[in-house]
Amino acid sequence: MLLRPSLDDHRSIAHDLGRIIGVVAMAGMVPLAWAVSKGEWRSASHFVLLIGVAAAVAAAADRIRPRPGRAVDWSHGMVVAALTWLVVPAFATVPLWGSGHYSRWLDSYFDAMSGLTTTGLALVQDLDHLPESVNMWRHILQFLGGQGIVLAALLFLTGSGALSLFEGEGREHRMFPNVRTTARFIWLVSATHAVIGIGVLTFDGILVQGFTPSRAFFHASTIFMAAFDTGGFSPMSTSIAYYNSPIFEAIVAILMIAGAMSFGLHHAIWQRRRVARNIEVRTFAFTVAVTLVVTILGLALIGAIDETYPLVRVGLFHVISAHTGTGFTTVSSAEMAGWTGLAFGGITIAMAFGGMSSSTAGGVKSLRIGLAIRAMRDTVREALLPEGAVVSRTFSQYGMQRISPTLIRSVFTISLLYVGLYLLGAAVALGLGYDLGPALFESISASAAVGLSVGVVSPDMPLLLEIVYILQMWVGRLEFIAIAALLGFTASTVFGK
Amino acid sequence: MKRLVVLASVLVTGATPAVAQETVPVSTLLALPDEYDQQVVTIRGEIVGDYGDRGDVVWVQVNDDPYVDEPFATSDRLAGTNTGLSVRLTGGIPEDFGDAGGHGVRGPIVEVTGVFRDLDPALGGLTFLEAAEVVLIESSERLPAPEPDSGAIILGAILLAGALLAMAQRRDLLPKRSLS
Repeated sequence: MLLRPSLDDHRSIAHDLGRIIGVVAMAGMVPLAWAVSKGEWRSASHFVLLIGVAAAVAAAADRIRPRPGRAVDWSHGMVVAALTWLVVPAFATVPLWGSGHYSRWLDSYFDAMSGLTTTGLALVQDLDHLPESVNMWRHILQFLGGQGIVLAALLFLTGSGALSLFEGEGREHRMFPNVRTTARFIWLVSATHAVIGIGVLTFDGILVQGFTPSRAFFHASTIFMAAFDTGGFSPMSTSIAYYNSPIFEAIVAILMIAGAMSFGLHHAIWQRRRVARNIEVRTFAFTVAVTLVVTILGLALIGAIDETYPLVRVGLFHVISAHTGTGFTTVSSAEMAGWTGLAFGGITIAMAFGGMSSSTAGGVKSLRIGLAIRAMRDTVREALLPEGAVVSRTFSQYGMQRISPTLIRSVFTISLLYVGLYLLGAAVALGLGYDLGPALFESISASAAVGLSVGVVSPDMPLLLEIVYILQMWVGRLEFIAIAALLGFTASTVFGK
Repeated sequence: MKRLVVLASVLVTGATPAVAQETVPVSTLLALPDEYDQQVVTIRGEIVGDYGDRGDVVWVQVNDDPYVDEPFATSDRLAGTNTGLSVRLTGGIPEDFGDAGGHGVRGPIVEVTGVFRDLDPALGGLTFLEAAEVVLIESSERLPAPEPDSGAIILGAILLAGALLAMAQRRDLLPKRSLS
């Protein structure tokens, strides 16, 4: 029998959700300042509205509190995390929709969801004339989403719900016993990378690209946020092809890899611990190498590029972009659509695999792939060894860990759910008349929060497909558990007694 | 008035001197790169973004989408996403081109003739147009800035003030009023 949640349950969820929306109000200050400095007064007025609305909702939610002494349970945190990713994009649309660069409101919601989930698929039109402040806002959404907007709120939040909120965002590994300390560390890592990344990209912009200092800083800030948070939005319509620079591509590639690394790994590196045996590091390196070879071979076979250096450069950049779930590109979507055969396979598989757990990347994740491979290998070894022989079932991740049947069940369940999600979007696109290749490519790109496109995602795409991609981005980012908790909570509210 | 700006890239690249021909849409070049690779083509469009002045060469992006003739800022009509191609110029950008296009600016409208290079091995796999000739058709133009949305400002300010007041009251930050 389903138990209907009490009024207190709803109050505690509304209270926490309100606090997170308060973060949106604070984040809106940055593009507001940018708009004022650039004299983009219309955009500035929409940022004032965004800040006002978000602050008002946060203040109202602040007054809704559960009875004192009532503990916030695990499911509340999950429900709040799931709702956050649905509600925050709606607030974020205020300046996007206000810019007038979207045909319909849902397109601006699509972009906000894409930004917050660090996907990078975009429906904005005439991007190259978009106000800088709105462009900045798109990238800030990626930064917030990548770092975890919930994580941002955790800096100000206390209570037992904090852990479930943290896990609800698709993060598993805590570096410190305290979630708030973990949140602080994640933001410290990000801030350090931001200072270095933006600094280096700004210097490159001025000294190599020949941009003015102000524009170099704008490009550097936006590209940093999109690269480190594996988002993939870019301030110009031609993505990284705009910069025509191998140095720029190399810097961006390093940032993408740093973004796809789990924060646990960042922590281990900061503590100068050895990470070479870490299962995620090994799996990620292995799958990048395999998909790189496949992609390069594919590009060579279709005759897309003849010479070795450009072949490796183009192949490596796109495999890193796909595998880290970033979605930057140096070729047009029309050109990428021509990458058939092995090249298509290499990029698509790289997208589906994704980055490391507890990182800003999406996809199945290296940890699950590594554990699945290890489990299969152990099963084969068990079958081959004499009866009674003991097979050690351990793996290295911040120390030796045991591979339990529960862990393996969870690995295969989530991995299968991802495959199902990939196939679902592809099936809908197929039903709407798209070819299998583009349908699968775009579906994986949306579900694994990548953002590469072969042209299916466009402002004139069917409404149904747009809604499906929005849902895929949402579900893929939160890795199913929080969504299941929200569905369970909704069912209990409606049908419970 | 049309002005012809002949750039030194003809000498530098050894490209075939430009011959007057019909313009090719950038979308066609990108859709059929093999067909146009190493061919002399002409594109017409707006320079957007930045002038990437690297001393010996200048990199620009030339868009040839519908916004070239009908800027969104003046027409308020959306016509899809942008279509652009990188163009490599030798010889610098004359001052009368004006600012590159962006928010509130329609960039210079140019006609560029040169060799289309798809995933060029010499430059590590870049796709671009090696310009031989650039004809300035129209200089850059400032577009009318959109008016601030006063309704949004007033509503936003009222909501923000209310929120700050409510939060201050909640946290007992406001001075207590005496009953006497």
